[in-house]
Amino acid sequence: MKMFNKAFYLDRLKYLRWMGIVCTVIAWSISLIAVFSTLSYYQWVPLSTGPEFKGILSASTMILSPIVYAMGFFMVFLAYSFQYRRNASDYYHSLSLTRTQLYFSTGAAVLTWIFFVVISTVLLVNVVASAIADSVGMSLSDATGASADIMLIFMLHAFIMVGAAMLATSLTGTAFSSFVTAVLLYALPWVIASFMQSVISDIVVILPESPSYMPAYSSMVFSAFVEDFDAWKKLIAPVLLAIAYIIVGWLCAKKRPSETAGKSSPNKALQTFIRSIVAFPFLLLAVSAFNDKSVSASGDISYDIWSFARYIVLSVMFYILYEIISTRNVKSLPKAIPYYAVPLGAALALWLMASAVGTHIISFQPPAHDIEYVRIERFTENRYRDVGNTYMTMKLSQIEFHEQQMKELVLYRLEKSREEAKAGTFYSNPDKDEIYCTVELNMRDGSSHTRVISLMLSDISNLEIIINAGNHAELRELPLDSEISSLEIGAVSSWGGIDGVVTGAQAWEIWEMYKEELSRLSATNFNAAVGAGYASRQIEASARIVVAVEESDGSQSRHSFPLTQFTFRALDRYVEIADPAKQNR
Amino acid sequence: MIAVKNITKRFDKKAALENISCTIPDGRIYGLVGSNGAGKSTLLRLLTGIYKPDSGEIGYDGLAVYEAPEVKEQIVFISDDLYFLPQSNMERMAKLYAVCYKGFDNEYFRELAAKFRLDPRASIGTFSKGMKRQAAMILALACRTKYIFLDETLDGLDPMMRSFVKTVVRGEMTSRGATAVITSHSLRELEDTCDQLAMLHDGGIVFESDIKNLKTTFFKIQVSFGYDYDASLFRDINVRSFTKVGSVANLVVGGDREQIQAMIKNLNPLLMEVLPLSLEEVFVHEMSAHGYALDVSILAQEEGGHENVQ
Repeated sequence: MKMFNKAFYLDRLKYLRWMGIVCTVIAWSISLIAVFSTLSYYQWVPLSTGPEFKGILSASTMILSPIVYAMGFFMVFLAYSFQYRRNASDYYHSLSLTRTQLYFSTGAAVLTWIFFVVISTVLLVNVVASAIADSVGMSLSDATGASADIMLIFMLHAFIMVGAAMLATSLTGTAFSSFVTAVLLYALPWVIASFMQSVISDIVVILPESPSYMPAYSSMVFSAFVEDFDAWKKLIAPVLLAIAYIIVGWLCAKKRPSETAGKSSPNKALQTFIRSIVAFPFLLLAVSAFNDKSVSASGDISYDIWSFARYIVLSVMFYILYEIISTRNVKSLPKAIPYYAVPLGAALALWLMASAVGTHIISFQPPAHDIEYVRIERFTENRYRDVGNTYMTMKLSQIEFHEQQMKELVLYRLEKSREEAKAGTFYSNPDKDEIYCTVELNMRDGSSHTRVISLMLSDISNLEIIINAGNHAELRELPLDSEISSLEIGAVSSWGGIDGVVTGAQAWEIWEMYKEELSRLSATNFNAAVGAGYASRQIEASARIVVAVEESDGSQSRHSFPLTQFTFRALDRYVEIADPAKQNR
Repeated sequence: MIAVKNITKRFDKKAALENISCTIPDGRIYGLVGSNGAGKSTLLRLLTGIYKPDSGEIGYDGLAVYEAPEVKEQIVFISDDLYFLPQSNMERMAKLYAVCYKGFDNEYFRELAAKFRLDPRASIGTFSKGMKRQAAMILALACRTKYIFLDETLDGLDPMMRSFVKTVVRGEMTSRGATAVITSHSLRELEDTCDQLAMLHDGGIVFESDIKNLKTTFFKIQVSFGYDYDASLFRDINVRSFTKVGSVANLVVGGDREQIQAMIKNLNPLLMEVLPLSLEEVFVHEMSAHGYALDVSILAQEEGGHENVQ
């Protein structure tokens, strides 16, 4: 079976040329303006090694996001607009083309135009930014790699948009129905994933904030997805979703009668499906209200009934509005209303499923002998804010702890944390004597489970003892000079940043002194000196060394090393340099 | 040859066509006539593979047409509700047709455009309704397909242009042995254009016949007798309509003309006159026989009205 007609594809390219040209001109113009703005910013706020091309590209091509969004939808609607008018639909279906050829040749033309806009804009930004940076003495690094990454991300993104819109055009017969369906199909996986995450997180607060089950798709929708371009491998799932959309769209297009044009959908079942997905997000919000329970001092549970009622009303309203607008017939309403039970039932089923998953997750309490090893990933003072030196935590997270004491400590705290989670007291930390530690339990059966456990001060001491007993040399390693892309030393300010910043050769001099002083400290003192999250003694620092480290994947991370009495020579040298009065004395 | 076997097509459970069968021989002009909503356009869309029948078969020399590009390449369809690409001209449309029809004859397209005095580069949006129909006709004929389907295409043309189009279509059919299927409300158009006519009513074919045969099979007889009589006198004759004013009766009859004349003569009439029926009258009588009453004079007025508008 011939699925693609090259001649018709070329004709469709021509058919879409005006929209394609307009979008290209807009994308080029606005991206160039963004290049000039971004470069002028970097000219006044120079980084020690010059701006990264990735940053300029990301800022300059940010404008591509709305253009890709708009093109993804509107170009599909324009290309398949014959599906919305009876005479046009009959005309195209009378031509010597199969529905499959019409579907794929048209879709390929849309994608070609969008890819052209993306590739040409990124290349233009690359060329112009490089030329301007050279002329003003800036050095741009990683231009080729960053361009390739960002092109790939945008093209994959367009692929999803086009996939959702192509499926929507196959399911519907009017521009309105098609647009509503496309938006919902695009957003639905995100809505469902977010709902699942929300319900599970509410039940299992001891899960980390970004659990691994959350599809990467969630970060793609309604967000500045360009920030994610270092992790493009995560996009495999969304691409598979886009392919699924396109394949389902094709199967529907093959079955779609020409006479569907002008009608909201080919049959009652699909009309019910579309109406249901219109109401569905509101119904998910409504049933989410069951999770927003508050427990009184006497143990009474009360639910947010008003929130539930509000979203139910909204869901009914949109359900009815969609039916009236799409069919332009109020008489169809009485028959449509009983089917409201479909999205309501689906929302309840999803909620029950998520709750069951949450209950299953929180009940996880394995015996120590089932655990192969434990990894410690992160220390936080609440759900979001890290505590301790992130560089040392990063080093710690690379270690596999097979020690029995470590397993027992983690399991003991896991049990306590589960009890707190069930009682609703986890993360309450009333006495500020707890920190929270994200641990990964790697089981003998090959599975791994990540949980957040609370650690009391006594637990932290035990943890430090266990860690120190392991004599892990890598925990005394500091960033290599070759890895450091910038070095800044300053006094801790009231707003959490640093003031009186010392950079350049003087900073490197202090860093060398700091390293030399640390090398002479015992393990416990070293932990306290670098401010490791697992240090039982947390010393207040008056100054800090902020190190930007180039990671192996090309990204940058910033880590803070405290200057304390353990490294008094380095601290003293900083004060000498930073305090002119002292220098004069 | 197009063979249609027991096709049924429903829209929202309402049958537009019910169990239709007919045969369209190659090289002929086949007319489809019927009242509004009879299913003419639906039948044409089924024949051209736009719609899929709910049941039954349509075969072009044994090959199914739905989703069959190799068959559809031999078919061109001009809808009653024309479609052109937005902001396009005939040249742009010709390019689209050339993509879908390997046999598209660009030279013939230009030749026809010149004959019809239409500028291929002018925007179709600026064309009048009649000019749009001509443009569609030119593009369709330039596809040089074996089958051409015209859905009320002649109805929107002025008498001069209608005559010209008929000549061109007739020429195409004769020179290439092509087959045309034409629907129209205007029986007059079909009368002098088609070789064969099918009458559709209420989703079914009422009858299908050669035009020549149709005209000779149905006729009107004016008759008077010297004795009192009623319709029962003609019980052995296929009388489609009987009206009597005084002693004079008007009969519309179907069958062999000479045989019927001989039968009436045997009844000793005082007066007998055989008058030919126009195709319109045949149409009206057949439709009446199937419970669809329509006055001939109204039909004639409607057609006259159409012509005045054009």
